[in-house]
Amino acid sequence: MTSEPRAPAERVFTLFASCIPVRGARRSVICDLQRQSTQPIPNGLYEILTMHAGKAVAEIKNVYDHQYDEEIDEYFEFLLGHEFGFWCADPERFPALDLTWEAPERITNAILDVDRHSDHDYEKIFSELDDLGCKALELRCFEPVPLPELRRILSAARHGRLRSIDLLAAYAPELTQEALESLASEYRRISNIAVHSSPEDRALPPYRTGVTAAYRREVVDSPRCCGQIHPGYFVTNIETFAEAQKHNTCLNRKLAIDARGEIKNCPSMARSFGNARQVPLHSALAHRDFAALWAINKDQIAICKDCEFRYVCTDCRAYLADAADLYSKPSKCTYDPYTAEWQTPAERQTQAAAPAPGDAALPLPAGILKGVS
Amino acid sequence: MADDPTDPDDRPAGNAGLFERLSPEGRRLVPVTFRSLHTSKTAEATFLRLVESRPYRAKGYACSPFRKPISKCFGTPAGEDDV
Repeated sequence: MTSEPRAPAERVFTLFASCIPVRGARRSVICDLQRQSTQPIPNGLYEILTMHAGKAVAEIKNVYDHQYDEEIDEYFEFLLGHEFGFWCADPERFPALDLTWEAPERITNAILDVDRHSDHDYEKIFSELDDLGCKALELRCFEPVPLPELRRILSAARHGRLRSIDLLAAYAPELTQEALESLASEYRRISNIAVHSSPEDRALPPYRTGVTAAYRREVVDSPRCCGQIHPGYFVTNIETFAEAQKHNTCLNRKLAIDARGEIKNCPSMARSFGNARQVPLHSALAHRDFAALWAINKDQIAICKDCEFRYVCTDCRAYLADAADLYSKPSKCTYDPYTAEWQTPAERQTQAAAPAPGDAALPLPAGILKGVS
Repeated sequence: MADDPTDPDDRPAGNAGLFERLSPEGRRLVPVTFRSLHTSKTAEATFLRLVESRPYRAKGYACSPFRKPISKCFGTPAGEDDV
């Protein structure tokens, strides 16, 4: 049944379906899945957008006994200014996105680690990843690999179904800007090249083909470097947001082969499901425990479940705050959702006893409305 | 093969010369689309539009980067987002 259209004065503010508010302990965010941005908002505004969705402004002001009329007007100006929504008379015609996540691939992404002792059968690995439908690979070289060897590895992936290869290479003088560009041009599946242990931090201009490349000073000499959590690794798009509702955004549909050829969920984890030289990847995948961690989503993880970034964060299950608790937060995450601040571990200890700071940095006043802590 | 639209004897008369305008790769890849359209009046226009847009579609389809980080090894963001 179609409801009667509302009079203009009764129009309600409706968020675009791709702009989804997510509440955190201290503040909330609007995840704009189309523009791929994450905008902090006060929890008071989250309350208006969710508990009072579908109400006209006058109704909302009434709910708060007209104590915050000015702030409420300011909120809506902010939302319009950032193009998060629009005024409309028939909000029921704009349903929410269906966030069901499905993927036809048994494995969507894989990590292959390489060091000087690696003895991988690349053809076999890539062929088996192909059979599993794998579309993205990160090739991580912890030590310098001579260019001809790098070419040999990449050639083995030339005819498969991979759509994307991220190459993490150790710096060597031969990895000049021209050499990287030549690699990217020769192997079109490459979408990103990062050269670690470089003498300088330098991002190269994107190539004509859209490939990005950068030299980084930071040393990545083992899987122990992985598991970093910071905004640079947040992903605001519909695929990841939908996946995060029910799955672990790091491990779901991931397969890793460490430098020794051991098949794992992640190279940083101890558990091996066999060596890729002897065990077909699909056999490892068929093991009952292989997919066990795939379903640990952020709503189940301590502290993360109170974090406003929980559906854009790509998590880590290898390095945990409490190694004995599968549901503890990533140990390398320094964000505290209860204070809305990024902290070093030392700072975190110092501030644990101090009162929570104010929200001066937020774009709008937080917690001004009734029932908002 | 009787239903192979690349077979000169099987092409609709209105589309004569269509295949000659395609690259060898285009001739190889297009038959399925062509087969579903070849009785339509707008077949040629639709078909050519599809063929011409293939490089763009192929770029997006075949070479698009994975849309989330596969591993997270760098402790400092390349360009720090202010969140």
